[in-house]
Amino acid sequence: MMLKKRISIVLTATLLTSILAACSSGTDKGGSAALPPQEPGQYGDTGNLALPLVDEPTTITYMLPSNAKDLGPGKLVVQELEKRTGIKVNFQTYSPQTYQDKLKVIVASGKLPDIFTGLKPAELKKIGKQNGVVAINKYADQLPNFKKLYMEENDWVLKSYGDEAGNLYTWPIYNLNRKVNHGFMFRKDIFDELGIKEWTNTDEFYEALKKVKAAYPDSYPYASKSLANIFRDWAFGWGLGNTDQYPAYYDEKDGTWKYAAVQQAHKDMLDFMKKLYNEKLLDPEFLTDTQDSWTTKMTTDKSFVTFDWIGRLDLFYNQIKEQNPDYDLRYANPVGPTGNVRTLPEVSDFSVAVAKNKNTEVSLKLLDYLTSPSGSELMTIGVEGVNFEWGGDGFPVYPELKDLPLVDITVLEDRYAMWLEGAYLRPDHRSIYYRFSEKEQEAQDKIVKEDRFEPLDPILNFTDEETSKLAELQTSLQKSAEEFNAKYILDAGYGEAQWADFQTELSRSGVEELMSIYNAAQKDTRSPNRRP
Amino acid sequence: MEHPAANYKTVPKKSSRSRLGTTWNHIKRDRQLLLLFLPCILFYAIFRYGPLYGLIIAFKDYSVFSGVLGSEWVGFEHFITFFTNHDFWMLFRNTLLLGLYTLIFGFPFPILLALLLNEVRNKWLKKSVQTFSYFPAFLSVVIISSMIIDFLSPNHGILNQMLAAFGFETKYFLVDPGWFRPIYVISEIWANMGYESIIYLAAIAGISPTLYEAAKVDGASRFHMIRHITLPGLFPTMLIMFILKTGSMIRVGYEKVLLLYNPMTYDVADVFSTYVYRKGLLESNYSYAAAVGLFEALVAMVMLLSANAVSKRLGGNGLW
Repeated sequence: MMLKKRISIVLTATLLTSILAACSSGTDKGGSAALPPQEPGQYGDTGNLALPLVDEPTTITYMLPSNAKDLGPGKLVVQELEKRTGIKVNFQTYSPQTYQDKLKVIVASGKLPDIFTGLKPAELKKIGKQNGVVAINKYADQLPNFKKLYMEENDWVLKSYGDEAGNLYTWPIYNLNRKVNHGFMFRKDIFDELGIKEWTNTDEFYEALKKVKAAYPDSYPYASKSLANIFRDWAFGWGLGNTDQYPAYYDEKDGTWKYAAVQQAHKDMLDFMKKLYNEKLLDPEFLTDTQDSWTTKMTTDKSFVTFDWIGRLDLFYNQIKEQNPDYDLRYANPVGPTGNVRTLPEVSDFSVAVAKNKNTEVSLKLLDYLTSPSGSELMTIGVEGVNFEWGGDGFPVYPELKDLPLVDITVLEDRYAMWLEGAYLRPDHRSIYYRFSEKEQEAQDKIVKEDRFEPLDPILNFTDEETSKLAELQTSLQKSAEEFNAKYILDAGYGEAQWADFQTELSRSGVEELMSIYNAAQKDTRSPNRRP
Repeated sequence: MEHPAANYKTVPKKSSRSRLGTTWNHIKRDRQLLLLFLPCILFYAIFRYGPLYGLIIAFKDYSVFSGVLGSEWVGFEHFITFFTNHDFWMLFRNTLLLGLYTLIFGFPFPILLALLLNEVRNKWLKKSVQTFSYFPAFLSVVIISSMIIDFLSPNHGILNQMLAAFGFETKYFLVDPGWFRPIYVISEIWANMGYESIIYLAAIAGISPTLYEAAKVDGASRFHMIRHITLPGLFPTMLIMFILKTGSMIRVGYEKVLLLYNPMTYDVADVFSTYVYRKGLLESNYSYAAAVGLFEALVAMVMLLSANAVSKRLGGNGLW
């Protein structure tokens, strides 16, 4: 009896100590008690947010993917944030390759960092309902920038990105995208040498590949590193959608959601790919190619046309210019009957979330500061007079980096902790990220001038029940679709009969059920679909 | 006549107190040995038996923030969902076949390698072959997989270049569903053969050299000696290894499958562990993934028990 009592006393004491320890960690009470208030406007337009954000020094953890080696207290952004807001931000970073795995493990442990990015929207909503992360809109009164941007100017955001009760668990990113990002690319130097004109439609694309093949019989003119994503990448040109929901897409003609993999337009696309494959115009390794082998092909006259991110135009050139100074990869016209490319949204969701804990309000205020013009400038341009000066062309110049051959956002990330993925919440378009290289400018002009954009699909808002039904159906349907697509192209024995079988098979696996969920959500008033 | 019982001493009835005393005496006597064993007990208690507690979530609707005990009970719901899933039989078939092929084809190779290495008289050659064959066991699955992808590439892969050189048609092995299992099994053998042969080499080293000397005197050839001395000497080790491998047969690792499969081979490559990975980690259905994992473990246990029973029935020894 006595022993039991003693043990329980010891246990209680231990518990109390650990609770106390947990409470005191995080709030770093080093020396001075209160932070002095700052002059309004000292750091530019904060959108009516008063600095500093806290009364006493506070530390918060911010988890995001980054390749930068060290984002510790020595970095400009970390120092500036502490100076301006009073918050010491401890960036917990993991390499983008392993970030998702790390994040899942951390979420599974239940010990969330104060701010983190990268969960899927459905998972975030689930955790939000379990009180792991907070509904940001409930704190709107303390967040002037959030309120103005997402509750007044873009009130659809709350309804589309929130859950059915109107709670938004993710902090959106405003105005990040350039107009044009991904698309077809071709080796202009080779095309010019062979006297081939750049294609303007699908037939000319096919003819161009054939001519290149004739000149380089050992080559496979089109190479891909997208693996099974090639079907999504090409889909924009066939009018099959414009969200991350692919293969589900919204058909503007009749105002319903449809499943791309069973549409006639999709079959036309597969038939076209099959033709390219059979005539050895499409690299047979398109489903297994690694980034390295794709790079090798694209830089050694094994392949000449591909689909990728616009930055590749200059990246490949920089990689190969020593051996081949004439190398000239250019952004090409879209392929497919619509002749359109993907439209990039003005508001993006990177699932930046705030954990529910004692730092919640401080974390939210920090995000609000990052969303203000002042925070925007700090995170994407820098601190004027400290790390940059305005250059003659209206873009910032970084004197410390003048010896580097190329100053891009990865350099800024590494050197100053600027442009951290998940911490830039409103990129300033005066940043060097928006200063296009000549090739990139050509790409923007090509598409923007003729307005060759697929219309944006609405963002739907699913209930819990719908989300779990979707999770059950989506993965296996998409897997069978990818499997069929691959076989249809590679297997000579696949034709009309197999296409018909596949449609029945998908229908049996619940494709109509999936689409009825989408269409129900579309009709429902909870999704106003006011997306521009 | 003397009473028969008179010869017998009466056996004193052991009190539980004295039995406890004996155990205590044993502990006291072997305390140093037991101390050595302590880390092992702790390891199993913490890392093997401790996590068993987490299996409860297979029967609950687990929420990270409510905790294991706070989550709601749902009974066998996750198991029913899994068994009625139309992918279930495909997963079951793929897992079983991949495991079975790896067991059947992978099992003899380390033995063969050990036998051959044992016959090599040149020490230098033996050591280099051994080192060379261990090598892949130290490479990560990611590296092994990219090596396989490279070897088998239809454009620049060594294998296809050799096929082309001999006038055969090149083949895109990785997108042919018929080739997925052979590629998986062969690469598995290649990666593990050297490492697994160590245990057989050790067993061979334990066979008494006098047996070989006697056989030599009787005029036995090398082949005779392998057949009549080495193999029978290896038999108990082989049996134990086989039983152990049967138990882990159904536990096909997910990394290599994930790295090697593509839309063309989903149908033959998707296994329980890739499914658990997708459902559990990618979709955060922890409870559901735990249920699938528990089912996998149960099947593995049944197989281990049956292999052990069969081995005993056949007159050999079991694990216990």
